[in-house]
Amino acid sequence: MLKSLGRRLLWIVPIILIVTFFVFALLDLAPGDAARTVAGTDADAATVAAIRHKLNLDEPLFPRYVEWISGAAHGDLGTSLVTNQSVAKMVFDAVPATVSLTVVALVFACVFAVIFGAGPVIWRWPWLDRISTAVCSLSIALPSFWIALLLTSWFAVNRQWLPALGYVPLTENPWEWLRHLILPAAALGLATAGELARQLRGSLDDVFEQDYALALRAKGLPHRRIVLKHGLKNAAVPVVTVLGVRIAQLLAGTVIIEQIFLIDGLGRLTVTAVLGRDIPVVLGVVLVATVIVLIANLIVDASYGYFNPRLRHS
Amino acid sequence: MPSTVARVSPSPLTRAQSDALLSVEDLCVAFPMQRDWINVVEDVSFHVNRGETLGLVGESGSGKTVTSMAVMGLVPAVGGRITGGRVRFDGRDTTNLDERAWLGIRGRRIAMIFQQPTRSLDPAFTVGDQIAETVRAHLKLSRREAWDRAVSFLDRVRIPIAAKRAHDYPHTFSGGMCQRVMIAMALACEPELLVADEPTTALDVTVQSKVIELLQELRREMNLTIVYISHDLGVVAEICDRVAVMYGGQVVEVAPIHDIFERPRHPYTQGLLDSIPKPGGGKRLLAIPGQVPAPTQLPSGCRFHPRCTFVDSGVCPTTQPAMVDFGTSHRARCLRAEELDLPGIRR
Amino acid sequence: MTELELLPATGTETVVVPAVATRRRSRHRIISHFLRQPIALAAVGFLILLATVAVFAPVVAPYNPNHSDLLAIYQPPGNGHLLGTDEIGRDVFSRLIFGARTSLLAALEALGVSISIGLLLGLAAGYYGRRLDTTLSRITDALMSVPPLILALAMVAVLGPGLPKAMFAVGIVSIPRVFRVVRAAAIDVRHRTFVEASVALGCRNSRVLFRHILPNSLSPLLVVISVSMGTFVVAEAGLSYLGLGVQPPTASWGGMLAEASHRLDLQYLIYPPGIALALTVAAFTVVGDTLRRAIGARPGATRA
Repeated sequence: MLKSLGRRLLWIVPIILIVTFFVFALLDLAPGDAARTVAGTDADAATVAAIRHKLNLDEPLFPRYVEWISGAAHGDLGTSLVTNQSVAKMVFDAVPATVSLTVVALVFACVFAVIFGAGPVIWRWPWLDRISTAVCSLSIALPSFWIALLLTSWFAVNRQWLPALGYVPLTENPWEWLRHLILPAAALGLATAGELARQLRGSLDDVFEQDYALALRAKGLPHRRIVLKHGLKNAAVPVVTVLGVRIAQLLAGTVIIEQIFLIDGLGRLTVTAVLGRDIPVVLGVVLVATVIVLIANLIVDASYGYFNPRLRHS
Repeated sequence: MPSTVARVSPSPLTRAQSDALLSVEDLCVAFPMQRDWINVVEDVSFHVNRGETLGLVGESGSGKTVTSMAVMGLVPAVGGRITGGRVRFDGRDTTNLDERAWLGIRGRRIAMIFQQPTRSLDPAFTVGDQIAETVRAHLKLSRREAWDRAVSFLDRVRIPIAAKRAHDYPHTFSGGMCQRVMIAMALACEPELLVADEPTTALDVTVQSKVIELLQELRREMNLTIVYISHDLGVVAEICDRVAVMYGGQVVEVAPIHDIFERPRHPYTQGLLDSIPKPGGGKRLLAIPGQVPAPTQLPSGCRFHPRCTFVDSGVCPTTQPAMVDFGTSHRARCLRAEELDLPGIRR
Repeated sequence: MTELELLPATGTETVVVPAVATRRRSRHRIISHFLRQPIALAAVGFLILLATVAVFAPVVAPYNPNHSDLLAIYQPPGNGHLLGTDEIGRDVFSRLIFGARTSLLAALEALGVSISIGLLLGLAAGYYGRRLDTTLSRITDALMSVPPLILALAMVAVLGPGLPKAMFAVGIVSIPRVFRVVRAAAIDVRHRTFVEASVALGCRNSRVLFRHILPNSLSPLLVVISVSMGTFVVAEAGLSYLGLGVQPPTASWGGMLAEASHRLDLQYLIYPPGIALALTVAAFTVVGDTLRRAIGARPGATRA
């Protein structure tokens, strides 16, 4: 168990190198003059030259990359082309909002999964089964930003129950923090919620075909306790696997959701940076986003040991 | 299939049955097969008195496990339906009892242990947790008290360093140890009836005898009534007072253990006795030729007649035999039972 | 969204590959599998309708999608406008129809990019194996650790604005998915006897690749194509919503949603593009799922 975790940990660095080098190299590989592309087609020669200087585009690819990555290892991601701020500061300031949003979205997804995945197993009413399947399929197919707009329209514009915009840090006001995150997190997490619910339902069905499921019934435990205590823990591994795979997609979803709700997170920062062709910031975001995904996957892997004790000392 | 059914007058056993802890009367259980509900268990009747150990014997497919499910009230949980007869526990009819009423009985007054102990324990929770959970659910003890009780029962089933082992997970226990854990879990609430579904079949022979020894000891200490299911008459001989032999979903013979071995009345019982391997090897194993029929393909007349060495082709294929009494405690379902003089166990 | 996305990043994949000899029979089986499921039929029907509408958009649409009637802005549905008008008086229904064209074309572009490169790399990795395989697999696994849209946007930042470049980026980001499936199929087929026989007979590698391996990778590839199309349509909508995709005044479902977001109290602007998107994605997903089940249900198929 520890061995596989250790191996995953070791792979973090090479993956980051591959990914960041890929984006870095694109600048050189893209047709045309990189400095001109960044400056914009209608920029004057002076601006182009300034950009060339700022991005060190006169240097060949490899030394330029090594310089950037060694700076990154020390926490220095360069300065923004647009605002001249430290990229590292801009990116790290944006992380809490995105992490909050993603975590709340995940919590929402898990609750949804228990209701629509385990619910039909606890209360074996035939109509509940059919409704849950339909709800899950629906939630997977609906685009997240459309849901965001609908939810905002229903709950924030036409009825003023929840705020339509903005982010309040957790440390400032926990209740407002949550209130502001409900709509965006629901929109972001809905597709994942449907996937988790479907997987949970399937896994629970598998669990109930096991010998120990009958033994638990024979012990005289109430059905609900069997599903919620024993069923969920044994069904968790495949569900958590799905969750791990979807982390990257959740982070990708923050790009549009944060834009809609004007949350100053990594997603919004990405859009702003791309619109302004602020390459250093873009690189910084890619780096940090990848790190977040890798750490999240590490946590997912570590959790397997908790859910399936047989994996702990293998 | 029209056939004549031989009927005998009601036996004096019915009076004894009403004092029994467990009484199964004319039980029929059906499962969905080939788009219809087919009886896998038919007209099964037996009783178990307090303190007694009844063996339920038969090959796989004979209906033993389904019968045990009916005793536990778990027939719907395994996808079946009770279509006839009744099950009585301590005088109370449990045949159509609703789940809420079962909560006070299942696991508390009737407990069950299973054939595959390593697979019958939840792999995600510690052994101590699983026993304590049962205790808390039925006996309203605090967490601390329940845990202590769990450890004491682990100790009682002779799990070494029980206090430490209670924190371990099932996969760290061997098959024999897992079965001990199951026994501890089943007995922790001090039930009156234990249903043991082939508890030693999946274990090594040396481990088997230890587990049976343990059961005998605990039975004495706790005044347990046991229904012991097995396909092995040899094992049954060690622990049972009376035996009910099942074939093709029916009970074909019920008798005290001594009578079953010395003076069986049903050819199938004789066949089972003949197929017990003798220590020291010697002659080849005499298996009963043929297979147990599927519930959808039952032979006409007597269900055993195609495999029977004593078949009378005039009567057996066409007449469904009813139970015949031999004295107060011996019954057999065979048309030729009175005339046959079966040798019993050959030494 | 699909099973293919649920596999852990180990570079291996279980794929069902049919034998060459049963190819014609298998096509019939796939079709019959579809005919048995009404939802699948409905999905296929919807997609055909969508494609037809997109191709014949100028004929089908009642109005010019870019014609703005400033006297009739924000009209609710009715009065000659089936779905109402938008913020500068353009007919929503017509824009919806032309948006279908934008979405499908954009998705096809991304598809072309991801299939062509992914197929090549996957075949090469699966067939030639060893170091090439390991290198390519590690790289694609690494790329899958980045949130897809963020990587695509990073590429857009470097390449410049415009929908074609954006969809190119989206296509590149989707290469790993195609790569895996093709690679798994190639590995499976490579070990089959008839391939080894061909090589022993002296057939050139390229001949083996194209005549044997490629056709056998097609079925699982179809599943990926179908599901990816759904993803691409949403990606285009998202990019256009952000203003990084299609440039106004071209009609696009994403762009329409962006405009709708200016007046969230007017629900009739929010529903049509969203429903169109949802139905399209659902249809592609259903087709993909049905294809996967149809392939898996075939006897005589082998697993990698």
